[in-house]
Amino acid sequence: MKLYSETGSMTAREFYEELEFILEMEPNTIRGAEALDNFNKWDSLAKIAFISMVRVKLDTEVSVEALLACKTVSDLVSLLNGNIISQDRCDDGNSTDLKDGKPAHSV
Amino acid sequence: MIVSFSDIEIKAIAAALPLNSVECSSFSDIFGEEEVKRIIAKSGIERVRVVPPEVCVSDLCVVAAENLCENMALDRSSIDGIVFVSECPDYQFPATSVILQHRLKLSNNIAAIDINHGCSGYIYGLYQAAMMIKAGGCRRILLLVGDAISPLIHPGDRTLRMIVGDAGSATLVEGGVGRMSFHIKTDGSAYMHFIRPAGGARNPFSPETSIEHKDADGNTRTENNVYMNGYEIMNFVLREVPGTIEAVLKESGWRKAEVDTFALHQASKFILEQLTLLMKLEPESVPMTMVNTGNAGCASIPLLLSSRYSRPNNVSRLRRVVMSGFGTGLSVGAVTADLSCTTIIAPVEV
Repeated sequence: MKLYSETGSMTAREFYEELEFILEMEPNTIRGAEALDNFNKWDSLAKIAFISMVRVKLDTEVSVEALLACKTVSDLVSLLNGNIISQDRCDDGNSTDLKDGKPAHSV
Repeated sequence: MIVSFSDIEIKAIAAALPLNSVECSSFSDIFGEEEVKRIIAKSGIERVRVVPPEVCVSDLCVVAAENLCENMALDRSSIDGIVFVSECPDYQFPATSVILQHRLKLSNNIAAIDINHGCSGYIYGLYQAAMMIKAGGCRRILLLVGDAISPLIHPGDRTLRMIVGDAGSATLVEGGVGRMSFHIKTDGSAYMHFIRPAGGARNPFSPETSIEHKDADGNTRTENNVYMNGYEIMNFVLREVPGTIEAVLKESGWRKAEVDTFALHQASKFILEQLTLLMKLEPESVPMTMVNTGNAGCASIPLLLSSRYSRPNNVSRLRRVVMSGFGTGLSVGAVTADLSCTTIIAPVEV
């Protein structure tokens, strides 16, 4: 299991992979701008798993209030603004670079 | 608050469970098969023990205590203190410990005290017993710890319905050759995250408290039922438990790798797995026994020890034990102890 806590950060792609694992999705499915309501497994179990993932992997605590207010994947990224770094690319050649916490490319 | 007590020993531990259990899979009709499977996979709980309507947790504690007294061939007149820890007293008053003095035929020359604590309750109970002995007030204390909150859970609340189980326990604490180091922390600002809102002086039962509400996650409950904010609890546990355990290890002069067993509150498989990862523990040193009992609240630690380490004990896993309870309050406590000479008695079902 990869721990990022020593650096306190992960790339956007790595973050999406963690989210895909929590949501029991195929790898390389999440692109970054999806609405969380579109994921049928984004429920209380997933949110608790997310809270735990952030603590265990990034040694960071998310505010429950802020988490429950998130509507999209990019909102989750913004929640961890200092912990998610860019400089990663999708398989389709598009950058997963983040701009202001949101994917720089259009989905 | 970090403190050590020397010359204190946990002499014996016993536990009692309701024979009656409910299969978590049976909730598929209410919550959906897929949802129930996911909850079981995460919680590690396949069935929960529930008391029948006429049984109180004090009844379970009496069974455990009687079993302990018989196994230890205990002279009951030698017990000069009784501590009862539970969120489910028999009555608002008098204290349940007083009633238990009578039911267990203990001497009248005895101190009896109730402590209202949940999942950290076993640590609080040991702490209280240790202080009473070290202060010279008592020589031998019967610590009775348990909860039966299943009747207080709304049938439509899946956050708790498939998690919580009922159990009682009895522990004998007395002067001896052991040493115990404690660390306890309290965060009252988060009291609302694990609570039964109605029924106390602040918010008595009323027609209003009996109105059902559905929360954002689809769970139904009234103010008369137990409520748990799982998100805040998770944050609290992952933030506070590792530091509490590190503190008692340092106080005891133990290294993490030297600990035989981390006997943690059996909240759920997922929480214990996350703590194991966070603290970089060996998974074999973190036993889990909640699969057939559920989360037994303050009784979960003695129940774990009773279930896993009853005679003939695997003594090698008991020389250096760290126990930690966390939850209602919110509060967290940890203690180190040598249980290699403790008589650990298998649980009794009633």
